[in-house]
Amino acid sequence: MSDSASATASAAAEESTTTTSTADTEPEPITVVDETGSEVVIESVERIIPLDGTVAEVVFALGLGDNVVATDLSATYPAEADALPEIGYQRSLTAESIAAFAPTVLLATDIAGPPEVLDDLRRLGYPLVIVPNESSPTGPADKIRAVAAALGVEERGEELASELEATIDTATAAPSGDETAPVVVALYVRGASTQLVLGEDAATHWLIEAAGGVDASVELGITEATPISAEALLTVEPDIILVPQAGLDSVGGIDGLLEVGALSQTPAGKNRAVLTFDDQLLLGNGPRTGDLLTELAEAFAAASVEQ
Amino acid sequence: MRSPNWLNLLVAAVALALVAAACGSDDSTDAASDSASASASASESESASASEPAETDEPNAEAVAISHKFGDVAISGTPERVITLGYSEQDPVLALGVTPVAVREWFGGFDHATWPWAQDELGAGTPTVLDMPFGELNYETIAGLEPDLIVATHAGITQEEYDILADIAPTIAESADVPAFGMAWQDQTRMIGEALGLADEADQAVAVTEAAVLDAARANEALDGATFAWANPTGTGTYWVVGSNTPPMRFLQDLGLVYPDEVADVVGDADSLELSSEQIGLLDVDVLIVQADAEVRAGMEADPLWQATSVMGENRILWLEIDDPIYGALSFSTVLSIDFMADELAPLLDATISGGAASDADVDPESQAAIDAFVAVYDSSADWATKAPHLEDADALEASNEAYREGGDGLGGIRLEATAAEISGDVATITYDVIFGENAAYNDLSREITLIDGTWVVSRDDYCDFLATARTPCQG
Repeated sequence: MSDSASATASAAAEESTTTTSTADTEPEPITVVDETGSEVVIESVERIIPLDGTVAEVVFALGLGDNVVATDLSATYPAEADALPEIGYQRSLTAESIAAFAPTVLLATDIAGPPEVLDDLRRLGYPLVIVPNESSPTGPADKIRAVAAALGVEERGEELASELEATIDTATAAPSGDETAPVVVALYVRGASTQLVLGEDAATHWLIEAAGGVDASVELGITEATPISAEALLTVEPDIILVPQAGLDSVGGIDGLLEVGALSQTPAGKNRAVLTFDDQLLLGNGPRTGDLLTELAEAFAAASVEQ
Repeated sequence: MRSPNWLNLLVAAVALALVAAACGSDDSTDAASDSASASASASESESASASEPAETDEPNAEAVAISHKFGDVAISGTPERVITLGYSEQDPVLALGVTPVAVREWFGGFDHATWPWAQDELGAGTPTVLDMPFGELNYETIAGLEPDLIVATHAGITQEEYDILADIAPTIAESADVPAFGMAWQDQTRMIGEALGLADEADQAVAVTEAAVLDAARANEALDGATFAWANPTGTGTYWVVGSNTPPMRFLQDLGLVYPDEVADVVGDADSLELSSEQIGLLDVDVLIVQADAEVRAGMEADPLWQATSVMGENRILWLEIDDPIYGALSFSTVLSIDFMADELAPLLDATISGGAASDADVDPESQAAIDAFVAVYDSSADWATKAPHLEDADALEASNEAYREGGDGLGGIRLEATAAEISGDVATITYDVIFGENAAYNDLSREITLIDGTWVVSRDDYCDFLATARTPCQG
């Protein structure tokens, strides 16, 4: 049976190479070198599992959403990705929950783990492509191109990536250097006990700067997410608080957030200047990042006018 | 003929059961042929409409050729009346979504000779049970079931037996390169898949179970590098020890356990070997699996030779009674029973190696009480009755807890694994890892639990705070 199936597949492959150039539907194996430098061969993109929410969003944006058979818990957008069966959470994967969906290709970022389980998945023969996940103005487009290459839809990927680059370019504010630029602090909140300032490693850092704000984490010397100290927050006097939606919900909205640490004492707290966005949108470095940046730039510009 | 030691080891232990079965064999044969004819007529009426279009659709359906120990067999079309003569082969056939018309009883006496781990796959199926002792196949009964495929890859059949069976229906035995009862479960599942025209389904079933074994090896770290053995006492001071190259022992080694060289040197290539009481020292491993009933176990525990071993002194023996599904699953070691053991046996072995006694001694009783309460409250799947006494304002939080349980179920359960407890006055600070399903998602966090009127209690605020981090904030 498998012999005749592969014979049919290779016959189809021969036919399509001689007739058309629609790279999208060719069943020929795709070979990519992934972010870790490993060469990965993808025989089929029929059954895709993105191990990360933003990567799932990219796959859907590339028009291959129908091929996605399962997603991880972090996938919240689009709704179709959220509605698919779940394999668990990308930081605590198990091999069996993934194998159960008979995937033909796995797509992940450096967040996925534990590493031993990734090794197990490779050992079981599942092509695993790690795509770049850089928090920078070029990060979102790089991610899209890498996903598109692994799925054999480079053309669509290039379209999407260049569109995104153009939006980011347009929205990026020239550094004003003047004192009217608002100071923005990005917070990661989970309930009353977990409040971290997101640092230069997070997507929020380049977004704040590109949108014409001053990232408070720079003055605080924070690179990785770090717990807030009330004194430190008061010294940087943030004008705007930027917080992922799920975090804001976890403390009961803006009122709850302002009870945290010394937030209510800051200029942002006094003005209730809190900007919130869906977690995957704000932190994901994905296809919607250009639109996000446009919104942030407008909000920051309005804030500096008010000053 | 190769002596089926491997099977005898178990059969000897269930000799009484077999005698009982033999006495009642007339009854069971009658019952067998009754249900066989019932299912035969049922499938005839079904196939009357189904078989015709199938023939016109695929008039030249290619025959599948399968090589095995006794030659090549060509199977054309899709077998519909499958008999499994192997002692555990109901599992791989059921795993591929096919219900055999008849299956072989090994031990256990379950309905349809199907153990608990295969009940989902059996569903409403009612295969006839063939209660035929080793070497005594009833060909008349087999032929009467009108099989179109006989599966015998774990049956230990001889060339002579094969020749008779092959006249009844296409028959597959184990591959030529393995001894009787020695076929790897992966190869066995794939060979049966080929024969049933379900090769892709077989690959998928193998992949899922292999993944489960890898997960179990990761989740149960104490197994990595620990030495083990499996010994069944005869009750007369000797012990059958199972050889390293049998399906169950290969599975246990896949979990990271190590078959000791000293035991391998003695057992050699045999499936199993009887050790004398003077050789008990060979069984003083990190974890020893022993099948024994209460009486035999008591005898071993009273034996000074055993009392002198560390494996007994430190409570690192996993005792299994013969009707324990885990013992059955180990004996079967099939694509289904191994998946079951990855969840059920691996944690038991891990706990046995880690040794309840040893680790409890490291923690003082008060810290242990604080840890126990803490772990119970934050375990998404723990009983409410266990949690409630340790949770402030429990009545008002029951609905929130239910939401947490449901959210946790999506992750395979959320629980906190305590790694340390520091008590200061009435407050204990617990250091913990957050476990989603089987893996740690976050490490080295800490929270407090308070001693109120002699009971360790998690405050409402703390509990709701944690639930918020788990994305199921408290309600109301």
